[in-house]
Amino acid sequence: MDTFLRLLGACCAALVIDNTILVRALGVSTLLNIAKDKKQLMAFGVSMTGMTTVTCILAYFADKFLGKLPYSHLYTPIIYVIIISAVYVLELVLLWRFANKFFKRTRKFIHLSAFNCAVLGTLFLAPGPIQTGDAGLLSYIFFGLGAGLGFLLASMLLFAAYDRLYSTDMPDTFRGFPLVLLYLGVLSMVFYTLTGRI
Amino acid sequence: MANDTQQKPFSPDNLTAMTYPPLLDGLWSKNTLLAAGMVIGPAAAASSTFKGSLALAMAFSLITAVTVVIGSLLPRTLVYALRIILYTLIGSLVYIPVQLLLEITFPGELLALGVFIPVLLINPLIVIRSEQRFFKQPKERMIADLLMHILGFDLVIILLGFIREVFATGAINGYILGIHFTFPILGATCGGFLLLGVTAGLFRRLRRLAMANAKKKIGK
Repeated sequence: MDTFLRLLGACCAALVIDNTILVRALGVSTLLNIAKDKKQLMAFGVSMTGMTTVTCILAYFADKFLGKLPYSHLYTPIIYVIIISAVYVLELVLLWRFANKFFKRTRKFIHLSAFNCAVLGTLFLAPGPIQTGDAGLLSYIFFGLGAGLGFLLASMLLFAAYDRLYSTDMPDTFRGFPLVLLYLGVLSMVFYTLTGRI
Repeated sequence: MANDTQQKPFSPDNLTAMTYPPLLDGLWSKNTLLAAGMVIGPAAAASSTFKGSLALAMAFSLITAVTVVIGSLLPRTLVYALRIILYTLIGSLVYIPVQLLLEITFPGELLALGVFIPVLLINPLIVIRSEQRFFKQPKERMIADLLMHILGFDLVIILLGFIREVFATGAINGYILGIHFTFPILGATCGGFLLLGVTAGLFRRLRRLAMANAKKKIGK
């Protein structure tokens, strides 16, 4: 029960307290690229959640090894990029082989779901210090899952208001991109308040 | 004859090409942060102090410039999936000397910047803009265009860092300015988003005023 609550806490931490977009501001540019279409957004969100979860699993084993090495903070990014690249290639192969229709629909942004600040940032933020790597594997999995779901949550919140932010009722100077940032700022403020940071 | 008197239909792109040299795209009409909406994360979350913004600008400039230039040497015949992997691997190698340089020049700021230094190696200028724009140009023009895009980001982020530190703490680099109204929220991510949104709106207004003035001059 204690372990389950700890894992749930790790997931909620990634989903709300350390929300990828609204608290950590990781992957915002990627979000702006995909927020206008609901189907694209869902496909992207699912792809990214899978990416963050699987890469976190591999990062757990990498962190256990890296924790024993000196100056690991210098070459940790290389290891993480190799992990992301391996999962990206695996994703491409699996989708092409077993879900060809989905692959054709998502091929133009599938690289974005792998190579973005949110995925790389999640690996750095995963629980457990690099030096000792003593966080459980399940903590990493739940954290990765929570990070991906947090991105999806923020995407859905943006999608809900997208048409209004780009409508002609809005002042021309702020219509679209500036208003999106202001909207994300207000949402971020809500999350900060809910988590007691303000 | 007919072509001599025939004018190009007016459009913002024609106007930009006529009134500003293309090199200024990265600074002005396609400013990395305020127009193109790229690299927003570090700007919103990490640029909360002036010195932090300077460190971030230096890291971004070095990582992006070196990575894109080396990446431009890769053959275009390689499959796209492999190219993008190589760009990020090059970025992660360039990160090492940049991190060492930051440890010497900005040791106090590194802890506050956290993950925003390593995530710069995967920033949209490297992953997206390089293929979409930079690599389609001749080398010399590509480097100039890239430097303008980088400078466009650096200037904005340093300005944001300055404003945020002054109005969030009432001080700059520990020197108290005596400002009576401070907004501590500007030091948080939410404040960064709000300030960025306002700045993007004002920047758009400025661009449109400049374009309207230029149109009047062309009309005359």
